[in-house]
Amino acid sequence: MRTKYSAREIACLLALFLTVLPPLAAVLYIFVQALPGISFEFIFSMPVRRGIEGGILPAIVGTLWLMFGTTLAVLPIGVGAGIYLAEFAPNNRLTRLLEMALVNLAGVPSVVFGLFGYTIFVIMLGFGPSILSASLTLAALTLPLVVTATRWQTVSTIIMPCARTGVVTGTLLALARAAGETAPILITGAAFALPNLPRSFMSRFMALPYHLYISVTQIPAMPPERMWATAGILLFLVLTMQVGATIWREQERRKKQW
Amino acid sequence: MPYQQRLVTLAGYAVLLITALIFVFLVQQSWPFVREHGSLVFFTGDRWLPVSLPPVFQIGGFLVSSGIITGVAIIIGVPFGVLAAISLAELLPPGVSVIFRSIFEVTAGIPSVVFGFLGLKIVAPAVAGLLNLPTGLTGFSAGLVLSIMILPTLVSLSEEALRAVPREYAEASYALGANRWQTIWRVIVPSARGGIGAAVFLAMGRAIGETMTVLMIAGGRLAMPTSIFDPMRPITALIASEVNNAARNSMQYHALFTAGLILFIITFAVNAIAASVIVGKKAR
Repeated sequence: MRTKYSAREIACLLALFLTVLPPLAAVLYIFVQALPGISFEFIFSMPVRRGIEGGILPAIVGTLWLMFGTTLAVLPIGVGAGIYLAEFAPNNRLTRLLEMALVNLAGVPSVVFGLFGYTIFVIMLGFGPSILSASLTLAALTLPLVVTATRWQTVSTIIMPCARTGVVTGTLLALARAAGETAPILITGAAFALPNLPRSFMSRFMALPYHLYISVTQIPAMPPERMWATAGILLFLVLTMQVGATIWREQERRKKQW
Repeated sequence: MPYQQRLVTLAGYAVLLITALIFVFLVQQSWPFVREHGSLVFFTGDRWLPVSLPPVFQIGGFLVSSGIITGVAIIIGVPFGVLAAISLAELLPPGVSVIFRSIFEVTAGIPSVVFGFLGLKIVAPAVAGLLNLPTGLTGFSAGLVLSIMILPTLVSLSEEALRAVPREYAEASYALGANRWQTIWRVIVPSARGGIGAAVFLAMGRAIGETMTVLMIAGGRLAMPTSIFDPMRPITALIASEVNNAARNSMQYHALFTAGLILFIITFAVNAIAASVIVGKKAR
């Protein structure tokens, strides 16, 4: 059976196409533009002359460190809070306050997380500008993602097996955010064109989004194909996890349906 | 209470604590500035001279810039977002809707620095060329890119709101002889307006708080904007661009935290409106 659409409904569908077109075109365009700049040397060597030559290995490794640190920090609290909200939270004022806090935490601007992380982790706790400070800041930022995903999938009585789907989805989304955020790491330890790889959680670090930002805005001599290549690698990393989260969730949902 | 339950309860309260701590630290770090320079002109003036003698800190121009950019994003984004949500919830077969929904979910993950980069390379030159402006780095360009960035939020929450409308409403409408579009436009959309409103507020909160895109595309001019086609600097861009250069515990440093506090309060208010709709609905 074919559905017939009236003129107004067709206008509606047209609006839908127009909304998905720009982001899809953007992704495609970036990948195409990135290809010429991507080489073995670009991915696997150190930056030379402020990144104008050489590669971006420390930025890739730094971003992987951040993803690892953020996940480690956000999972226990995020999953715990998600299970609490789904299973144990009584129907009272405090729980509603917690729900409000959760929605609002999800809406706190990323640059404000940066100010928060700088004050508490870099200065007060004395972690300095480091992977540790940046990871903990990103953990606070991704907390609502993990809580919401865990909670949404947790259904009574057999808690952990059911929560698992949500935990995996939430983790993948948190990883994607940790890899892509710039503003929170701007003040908590990101550095430009470091000559070596991070040694520990206390090291300063390069990261892909920060490297892209500085390349684009502050290094006039940066060859464009290097910026596109950086953007392409960043986008590939983030979208892999984002697509993974979507596929994983749809599959688990289908499994549960019968 | 078994210890596992005690642990997850603790985790739940940790979320509350972190949200509260953000506010507490912003207030604490703002206090030295508020005590010495706090006055109404901080909000209304548009002079920001952090290193002159004496320094002047007024964020009126940045607030107006944030308002303009958010306004442009909402005005362009909302009609598209709501129509797209109607298509997904009411017009397309579920199998097709799932594909579009996945596309939105995935594109929601595109980092804002990537949008900023694209805006700088493609949108800004296009805006300058089409509108014959001296520079494409304007509040309008930033708002235009933001309108694309807020669409996933707008569409998914509006769609949810449309789907939550009881089927009986539509059936009653059809029984009265209305066709599908009349049913959608006169019955379903009005019934879902609370949820759609919440979606708009959440999107607005996201647009106000967006940092990298506006930092890279809005143009960065400090003065009070006189038109949406002026280069401008919204409040998020102000903080991100200066916080690294401000000496710690200088007056500029505390003024930037005060700007952060104001930003936090604005987004908190906008999100609280959306949250009260969402949480209130669940409570019923």
